[in-house]
Amino acid sequence: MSNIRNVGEMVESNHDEYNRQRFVSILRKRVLMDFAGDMKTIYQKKVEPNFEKKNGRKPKDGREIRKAMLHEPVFEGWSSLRYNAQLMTWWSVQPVIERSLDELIQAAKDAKAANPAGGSLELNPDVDVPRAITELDVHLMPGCFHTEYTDDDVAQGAVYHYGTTVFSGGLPHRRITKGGVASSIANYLKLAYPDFKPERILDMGCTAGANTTPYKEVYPDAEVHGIDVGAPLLRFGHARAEAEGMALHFKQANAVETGYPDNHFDIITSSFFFHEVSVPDTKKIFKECHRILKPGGLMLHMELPPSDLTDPYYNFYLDWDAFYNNEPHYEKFRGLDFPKTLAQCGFKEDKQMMVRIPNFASTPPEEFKAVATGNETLRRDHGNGAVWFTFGGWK
Amino acid sequence: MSEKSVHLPLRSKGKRATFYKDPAVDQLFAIITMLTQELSVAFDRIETVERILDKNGVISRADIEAYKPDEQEETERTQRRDEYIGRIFNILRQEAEALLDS
Ligand SMILES: C[S@@+](CC[C@H](N)C(=O)[O-])C[C@H]1O[C@@H](n2cnc3c(N)ncnc32)[C@H](O)[C@@H]1O
Repeated sequence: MSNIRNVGEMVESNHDEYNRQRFVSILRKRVLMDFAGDMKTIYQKKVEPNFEKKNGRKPKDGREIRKAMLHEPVFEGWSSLRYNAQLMTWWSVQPVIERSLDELIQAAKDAKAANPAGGSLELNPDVDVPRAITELDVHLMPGCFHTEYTDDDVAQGAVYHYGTTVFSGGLPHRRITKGGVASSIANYLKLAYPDFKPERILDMGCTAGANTTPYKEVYPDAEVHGIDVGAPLLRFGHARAEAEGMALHFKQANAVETGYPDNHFDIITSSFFFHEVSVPDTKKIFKECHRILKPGGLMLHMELPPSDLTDPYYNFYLDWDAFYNNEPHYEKFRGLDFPKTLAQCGFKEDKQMMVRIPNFASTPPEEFKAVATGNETLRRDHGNGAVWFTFGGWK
Repeated sequence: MSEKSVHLPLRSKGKRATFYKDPAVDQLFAIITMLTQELSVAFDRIETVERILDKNGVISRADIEAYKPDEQEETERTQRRDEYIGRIFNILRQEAEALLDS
């Protein structure tokens, strides 16, 4: 392959930086596993029984549980730890990225100039960055997805890429599976629809392309595109893909108005995207997907499941991010009537699709295949990335 | 390498969350969590020094910076950090433990 340095692997943390990162990974694992388990115990053994005594019924939704939990010491402590671990994730990678930024930028330029894999990068500085992103640093990531600090900047792409590695570095399922969502969806589709041969695939809100790449791996003959509003993410994603020999086409565009022609894509997908989008924009994006999808094409997005499919405690747990992780649209998104909303945006009810897809890398191949070919329904729930909830429909 | 050209911000845009009635407690929580991290890192540094000394008998700063634990050692360190976090923040776990005992 080429001798271009890979922006996704070239950052060298020093001894203490590396160990700060490791600490945060393990802290997050503790928070999400043990401490979260304690909180549930206290809810089940104390808070819920007290609520029932007082009201003669169980809490009806996540909001009621939240109210009952808000001043429980375990909630305060768990939340504080989780919140701090989130911030510390970004802080643990920022210093080494600052120090390496000139080299990262140079490597990205080299990758673009040499273009060994034959992918592309199309930036448009006039693109309309949604207020959802400019007003709050989503995921508490300082600088969010769009800020540029210097010419040809890749810093936020690097912060996201290296930060998410720390973020999931302590979790058993996710350990080596960057791109786990996309590899699960792509492999699922390939097994479930062996005659479906997509020529063109689009990943919306692709960030640095972690979940764009697997589509090219599973469907090497397809043209794979990714759009996002953040230029530093796309520069980083393009450079990494080129260095890894992956021909991906990145374009700076708002998913509300992508600029692609009608009937253009066979598959349109996204991962962890819609919860960051306001509900009015969500509907516009579904309609835009319908417009640019070919007849017979499939739109299939991954997100957390809607709240009417999950129990109130789980909703309370998941909606934490809406309140504290600067993801204000999360709760409203999960509260949508999915079938109705999709139908309003052009995806007929009888052509809609809602499936839970097991995580490809951590599921035994026979089990994965059985689920994909419909010989077995999935028993396990979404948890720690073991199963991905997807929704959408055929055009 | 040249002077750092860019300083990335530490503060996240948006209101800082508070979980306690008195926001000073939230600030203390943040400080303590950061201190816990630094102590863990200091521990790692000592461990690195010890391991290099065990192996080579002499040491330089460059050895420390370049030191990369192998997989086995990383697993041991992870276990140590994990238990350490469990000890430091144990107070948060005691209510659940008591409820499970009763
Ligand atoms: C949490 S990230 C998605 C993560 C990514 N799919 C991955 O798996 O690595 C959400 C992304 O959506 C982008 N985004 C948000 N609103 C958008 C919009 N209206 N159009 C295009 N991209 C958008 C953000 O810039 C951000 O990169």
